[in-house]
Amino acid sequence: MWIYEKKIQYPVRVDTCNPALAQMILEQFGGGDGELGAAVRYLTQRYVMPTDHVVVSSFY
Amino acid sequence: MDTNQLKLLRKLMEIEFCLVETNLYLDTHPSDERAIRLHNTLAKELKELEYEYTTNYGPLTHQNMSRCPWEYIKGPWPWEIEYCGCD
Amino acid sequence: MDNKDMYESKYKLAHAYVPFQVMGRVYSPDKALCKGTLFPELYMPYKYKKEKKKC
Repeated sequence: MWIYEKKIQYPVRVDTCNPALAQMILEQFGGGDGELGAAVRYLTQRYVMPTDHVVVSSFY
Repeated sequence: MDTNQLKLLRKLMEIEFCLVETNLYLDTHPSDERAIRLHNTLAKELKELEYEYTTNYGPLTHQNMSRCPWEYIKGPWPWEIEYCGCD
Repeated sequence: MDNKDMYESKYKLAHAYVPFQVMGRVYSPDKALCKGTLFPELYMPYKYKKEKKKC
């Protein structure tokens, strides 16, 4: 279902080491109400899997 | 990573992002012919760019072809690349 | 105000709506990636003090 691609979506450049900011980002990412939890929720709720069964018929 | 490789990778990222955008738009506008044409143009361009990149600079995924020795594990990895950002 | 008054009132209830997007002009791919959207009508950046970085 998933393959690794050796590229990213948006260019990132890290130019300083900032442990305080890193801690904050880690909390936002993996902590309670973080992105990780949201991602798993999206996944189980069929995020990015629209089918023509769920699209309103007036579009066609 | 030479300038041409960096440029090509950047172009790939641009086209790929635009394809996400046309994908999301078309999910709610499935009969917009102009959007589908744009999507198809981008999809074709992506295929060509991917071919150019992988033949010249090695595989982007494990499904691409490789010269000998095995090039997939060769760096730089995405987090090691000095991107020319959007600033 | 009880329910009956509410429905006979001269005031309308609140209506929520979302205008349907129609594709017009689109950004070039390089601009789109930097702006985070392909569609000019969806480009709504937060204002912040610009710190010019060289590339």
